[in-house]
Amino acid sequence: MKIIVQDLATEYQDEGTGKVLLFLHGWQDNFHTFDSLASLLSPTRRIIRLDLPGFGKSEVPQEAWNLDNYIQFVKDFIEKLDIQVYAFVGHSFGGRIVIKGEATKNLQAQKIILIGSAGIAKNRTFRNSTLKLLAKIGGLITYIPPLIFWREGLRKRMYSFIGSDYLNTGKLKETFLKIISENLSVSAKKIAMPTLLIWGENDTETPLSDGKKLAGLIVDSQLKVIRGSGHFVHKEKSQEVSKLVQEFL
Amino acid sequence: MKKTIAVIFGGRSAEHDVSIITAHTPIIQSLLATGQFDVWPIYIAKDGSWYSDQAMNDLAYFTQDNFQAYLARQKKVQILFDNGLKIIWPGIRSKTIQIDIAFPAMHGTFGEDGSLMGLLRMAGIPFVGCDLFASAVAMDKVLTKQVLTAESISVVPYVWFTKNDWEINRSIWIEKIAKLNWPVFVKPVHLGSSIAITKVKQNSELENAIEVAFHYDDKVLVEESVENLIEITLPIMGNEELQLAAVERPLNKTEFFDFSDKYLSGNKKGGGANSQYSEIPANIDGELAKQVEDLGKKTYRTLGCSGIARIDFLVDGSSKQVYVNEVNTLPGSLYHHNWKKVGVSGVELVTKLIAFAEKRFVSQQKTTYIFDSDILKKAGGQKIGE
Repeated sequence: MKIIVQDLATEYQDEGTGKVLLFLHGWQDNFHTFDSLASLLSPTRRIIRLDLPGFGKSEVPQEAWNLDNYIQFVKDFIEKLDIQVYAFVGHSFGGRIVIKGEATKNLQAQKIILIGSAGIAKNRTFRNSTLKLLAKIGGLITYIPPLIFWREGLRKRMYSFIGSDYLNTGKLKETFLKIISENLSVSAKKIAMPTLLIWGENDTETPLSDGKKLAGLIVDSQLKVIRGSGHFVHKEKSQEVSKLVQEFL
Repeated sequence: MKKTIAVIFGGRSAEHDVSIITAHTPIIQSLLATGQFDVWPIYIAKDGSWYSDQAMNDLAYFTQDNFQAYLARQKKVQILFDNGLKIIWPGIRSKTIQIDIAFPAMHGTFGEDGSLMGLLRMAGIPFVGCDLFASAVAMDKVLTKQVLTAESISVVPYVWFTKNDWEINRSIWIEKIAKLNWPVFVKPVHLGSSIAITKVKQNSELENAIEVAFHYDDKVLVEESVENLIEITLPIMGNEELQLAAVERPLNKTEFFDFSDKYLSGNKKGGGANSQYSEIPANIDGELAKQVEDLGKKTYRTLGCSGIARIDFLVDGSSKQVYVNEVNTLPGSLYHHNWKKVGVSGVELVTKLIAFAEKRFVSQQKTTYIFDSDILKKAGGQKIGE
């Protein structure tokens, strides 16, 4: 169903009864990523999931957003639904929202669950900012003839080098660049809530080393690694993830 | 010589993408299969730009990954509406194509609401499907109910109001809605394809649902839901003499027939309304089916439909009371899956629709619209040249 938040039609799902778990999906994803996990948890909890602006069936923001815009949006969504969130569950980019939201006290819950969360990859910050610069330079110089004739081809090659996320980002390109430019180590240190970190052993998007770093930064945290699974561990091993979540809550 | 036909689709509406599917499956594919037509696709992008290129006769044009990039390189066309419809590609090597018949395939705002039909009427060419007046009434769910009620056709009890009404005094409307039998459906009045429709079960959900509807429209309808609901839909074609498709029962897997059920689920290629979730013919008793067919024909005529339309009914499973819910003047993909069941192929369907369009056009030509008058001579003031 839909709700209007910040004048954006937002698709969400609200199922089950009990303490509220609010699920935030990753970049280029939508709330259906949590389908199997939600069906395992909804008999005992109220599971609320939304398509973040720009993804799934929710409208795209008029301007390029940064992480703070997304945090404010989630805050407004919570107020509009008039709910008390017991725990946030953030996957990948959704994890960024939770980490910074909690650190800045804009989002508040009793507990936090981060699955393959983004935001910490310190060693990638250099790579990301370099890419951002390259993309900008590339964007400008390819307007000059004769490069302009190959602009599309060059762009595609550049994007495939940067990675699929960026290639598929389309309208949200600027938003993506704004978001990956933030390192959330400082924010993670400020989190005082009990936090469960769930990581796929073979995660290549946000490698296990990121999870370990986060575990070191967040005071009251525990890291659970699920063997033989990747970045979408909640889909691949939803039974195991659900069990960990139940125990933690 | 082959007749030149323009299939017009896309458009600035929430149903832009669905329109692309309808235009190709079955319209363009069937038109090409007849071998009788020179088919020109006219595609209106979401930003309102008009394009035409026969490469767009292939649905794959629109499904390719870098579709937007291709489109950006396309030259926009100009359309001339005086004494016939012409597509003009401007520039040094300019080209003009004269269109004999138009086949509108645009759902929703600007396409299905009569706007496009108005343009085509002014151009003076035959066009497929309902004319301006039926389209405009059918597009407005409230107006449809009002017209049908005047002809004693049953509709579900409802309340309607505009955004302004709502902003001035919400409590009046909330009070009126409270008197309906709950749960209720909140709908934007002009939107098709179940976009932004919410089933509201409790008071706390009502205002958010109304806000969602007003996000898409400035007029909102709140109507009762029907107990033990059996949904029925009936495609009809013809001008004076009507031909009925099979009485169809959409089977819902979700709370109600939503956008993706209607167009997407189970059929990734997008063959329009999807037969897996429908029962054709509906497994209902003969008397009820007959009642639906009669009511369908009466509704079609009351609204002044011509060419093709689909009538949606709500049937109370226990009392067997039949309500007409809405009229769709451009059924998604022309409901060709249903027509097939009654032995009308895609090719036959489009051929018949074109014949209806030409017939209506001829009869309209016989109507006199111009009168000689001396009113200008009698108008006051000094005449030029006097």
